[in-house]
Amino acid sequence: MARMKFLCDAERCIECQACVTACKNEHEVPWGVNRRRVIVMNDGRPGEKSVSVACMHCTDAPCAAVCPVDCFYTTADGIVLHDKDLCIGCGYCFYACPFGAPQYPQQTAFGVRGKMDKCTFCAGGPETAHSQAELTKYGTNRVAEGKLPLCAEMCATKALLAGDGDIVADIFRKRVMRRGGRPQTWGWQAAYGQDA
Amino acid sequence: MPKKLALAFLAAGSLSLLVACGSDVTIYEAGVYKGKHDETATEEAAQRRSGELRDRAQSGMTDR
Amino acid sequence: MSSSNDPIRRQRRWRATFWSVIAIIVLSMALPSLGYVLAQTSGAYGEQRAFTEDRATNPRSDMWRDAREGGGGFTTQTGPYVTNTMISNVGENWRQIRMGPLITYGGWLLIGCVIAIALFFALTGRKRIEGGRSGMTVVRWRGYERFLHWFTAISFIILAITGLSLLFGRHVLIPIFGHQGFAAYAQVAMNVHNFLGPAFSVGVLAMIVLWMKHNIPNRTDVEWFKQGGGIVGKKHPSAGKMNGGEKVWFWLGVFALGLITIVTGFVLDFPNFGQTRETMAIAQTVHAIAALLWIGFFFGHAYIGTLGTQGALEGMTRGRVDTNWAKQHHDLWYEELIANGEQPVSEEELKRRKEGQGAGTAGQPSH
Repeated sequence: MARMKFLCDAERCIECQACVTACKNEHEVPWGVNRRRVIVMNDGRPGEKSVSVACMHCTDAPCAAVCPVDCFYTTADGIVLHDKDLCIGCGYCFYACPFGAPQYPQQTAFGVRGKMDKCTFCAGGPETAHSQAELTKYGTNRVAEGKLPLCAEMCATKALLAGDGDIVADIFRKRVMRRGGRPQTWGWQAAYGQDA
Repeated sequence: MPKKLALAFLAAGSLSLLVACGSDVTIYEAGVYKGKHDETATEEAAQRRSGELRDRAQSGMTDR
Repeated sequence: MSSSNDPIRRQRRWRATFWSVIAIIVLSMALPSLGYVLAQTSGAYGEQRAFTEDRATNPRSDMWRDAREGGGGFTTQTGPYVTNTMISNVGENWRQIRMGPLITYGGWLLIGCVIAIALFFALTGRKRIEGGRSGMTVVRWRGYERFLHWFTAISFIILAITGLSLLFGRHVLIPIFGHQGFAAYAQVAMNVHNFLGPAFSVGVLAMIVLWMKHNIPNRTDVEWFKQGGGIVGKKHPSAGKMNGGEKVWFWLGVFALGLITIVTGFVLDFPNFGQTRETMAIAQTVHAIAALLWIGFFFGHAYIGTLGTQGALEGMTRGRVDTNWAKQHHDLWYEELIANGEQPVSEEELKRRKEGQGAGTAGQPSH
């Protein structure tokens, strides 16, 4: 069975922010909510690297473990989704997530946050696929159309890979073999376990 | 009499509390969701789309 | 021959050999070590060492180590929840604490408190007023104090129920109400908790300020604790307005746990000040632990104030207590009260006063 994963090849990422823009545009994500972001380490110094970070769709997702209303679920192919009808906006998933993926439309006094929003691996949510409700709450559902997340599909340098973990790992391994150096599957250990 | 009554209440109360410690109360299981049913999250749906997504990844993600 | 067999000479030779061997061993270890002293004290090697050995690490592996250890980078995305850390390690620790020991031991703590109190009640029963009621009452708590107590008490109970719902709801309430039902309740519960919390904090702070003067520990309390507070048996140790147990509830419960809960609660309730999620995760753990202890403590306070002691509750509801209750539980306070000129009043007198007051307001000329 396929197991969907993201992988960002830091040797290839050129910090063009196209994945961020594509995601925002595809899902009509509101201002202040960022399902995907590019983090640049050592900006302007030797060893500068950038990585595109979103929900990594963890195997044992911390967000799902701490959610007081149990609104998260994992699809059979490993995509972590959540139900906005159940979400109460308590912020616990934001505390627990190692990647800072959960986002909320508000940040005001008395802990008012609104419903949590995060990367869905372009797989929508628990509404009927391609319905208006799904579009407004979770964005488009590309996976149901047999397509992969837009951020990865349109990545110009193919730094961001998405899809079945085996294929992704295979592509990355071939690259590393060709160019040498140590493989750096950033975030995989935190998301998919120690042996990933 | 009130002592006996209190003891009876205590017994009933502690029994009802112990029920909550039974094994059928699911604390948390990784990837198990018991809420709203999502058709696209099922095994069959994942099975159905896996081939398509695999082709897509192989054609779109690999270095050419 | 005879000289070599001379015991004195033989001993001297042996001693010389022994110390020579010791000196060789010690010096062979100590002399090379002088190099360290030399390198440390003389500046001659300093510059060179820095040039050749320092910064010999790979910037690439430095960067990945930084990222793994939760180092921050730069991001152009803006938003209240956008963070520049690649991996935050606090979240996983928080999850392990919250879903493990906090929920397990917290739940058992509360169940244990309830069972212990029920067992205590079943075994000892209610503490009755010795010699029955006298029918004469004195003032114990004034109107504003009772208002403060009940405002804080009711908000405490609401906050406890809503807070515990968020912590244990998934294990206890979702199996009963289902996901939809519990989520609807949890939404309301969370908002009530978040909006009532600050109001409750004001009540607790007012209590601390107003009642601190009654709760200064003194010698009487030491004696009170030595006698176990008179909880078991017929004997009753002396106490002022507040006895030793009430003072412990004040300092440990209201003061310590109260302030901890309030401060951490404000950290959680006002994310608009921009505190990081790491701070909030730690604050949440402390908030939950302090609140659970406080709730367990509260069970005891509520039991003693209502079921456990006959005649105690009316001090907080009517504001007046029976003189026999006062003599039994707070003898020093009662003596002081009488010495200050307070007159115990009977029920009939109270009724008459009330009627007289009513008549007075109705416009009857008085005197």
